[in-house]
Amino acid sequence: MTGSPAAGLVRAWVDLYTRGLPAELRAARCDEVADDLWCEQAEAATLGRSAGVDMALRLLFGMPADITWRLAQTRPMPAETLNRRSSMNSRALGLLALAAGVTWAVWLSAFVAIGAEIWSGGVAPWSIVAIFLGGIGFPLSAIGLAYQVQDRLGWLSALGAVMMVIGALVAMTDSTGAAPAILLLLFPLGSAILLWEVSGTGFVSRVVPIAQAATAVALSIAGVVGLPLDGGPAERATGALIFAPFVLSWIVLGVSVARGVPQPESAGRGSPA
Amino acid sequence: MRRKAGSLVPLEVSILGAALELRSRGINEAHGFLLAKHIREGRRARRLTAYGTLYKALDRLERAGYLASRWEDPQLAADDGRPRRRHYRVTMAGEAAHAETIASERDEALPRSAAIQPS
Repeated sequence: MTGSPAAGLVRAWVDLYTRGLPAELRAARCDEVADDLWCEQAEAATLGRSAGVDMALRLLFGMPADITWRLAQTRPMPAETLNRRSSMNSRALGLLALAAGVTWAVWLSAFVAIGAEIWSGGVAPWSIVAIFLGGIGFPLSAIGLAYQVQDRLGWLSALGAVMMVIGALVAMTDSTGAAPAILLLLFPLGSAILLWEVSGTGFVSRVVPIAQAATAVALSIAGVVGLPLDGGPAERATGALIFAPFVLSWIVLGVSVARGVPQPESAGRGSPA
Repeated sequence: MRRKAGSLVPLEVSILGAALELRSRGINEAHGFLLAKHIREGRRARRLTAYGTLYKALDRLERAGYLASRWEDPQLAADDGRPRRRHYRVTMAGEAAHAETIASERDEALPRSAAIQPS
């Protein structure tokens, strides 16, 4: 009953365009079309004719709808259209990201102004506090957000979180710049990967991970061409410019999350009852 | 072109109409193929609605709250030796939306038909 080449073609197409969707949603669409094929073949057998041509045409004419349906499943919902709910946890995570972002922004401005002296004299303790606030605050808020949608995240998020934590540890402990740049790069890169995954659920705007990825790319280029990010005022300004998207992204994320966490639609939609 | 939220396209009207028609015959729930078959008969079409078009429309109607669905007991499908089946039924909102669309289509058609009446 399910062996006709046209039916096989339909099944292969459904298998293809549902790849990467949540397992339940994928199974629901595959089973629903499989049942349709079964019925169509059963009807054709009753009437003593072949359903192959009809199946091929139904497949062909439905392809544009299949593609747009598939794209709609992967497109994150705009955060503004979602119902935002505020909880103590989300407010705390948002305020942490905001505080760390503002602190880093102030620190970067001070660094551009006074350079290496930021690590000496009376300013040094404030520098340490600022760096630690970001080093702990950024990963904590990102991982905290990821925790809230953990059932919708994959291994890539875990990889991003690990990279981010390693990068943050380097940023906190390497005030002399002795650590390989690649380790520092892990901070914005891991964060961008993790928050890209989180943004896929509609939880945060895509702008946040994209801005962080921009810092990671710029940092990589600076590392490859040997561009100094400290030293004279021009170098320090370049360094601040590279880190600006990363820092600003945390301020944006912090404000957004502190206002309330968007509630994504249930992932179980379309799944069997 | 983006559609107005809540508006129904002709296929969606047909799906709701088919489900309501089946319900009037005592079939309270219908699966995708049965709905497509009923639409084909109603339109006197040669072919069934394309898979992608049909299931995308069903998905949209369910998200809009005009249809509700449930999966049948897997044992039933196993006993019949076929894939599991998803049954749809029209909700009260779906029934109201269908009636409203039909009424507005009728209202739009009336002045036009009146205009072509010989005086």
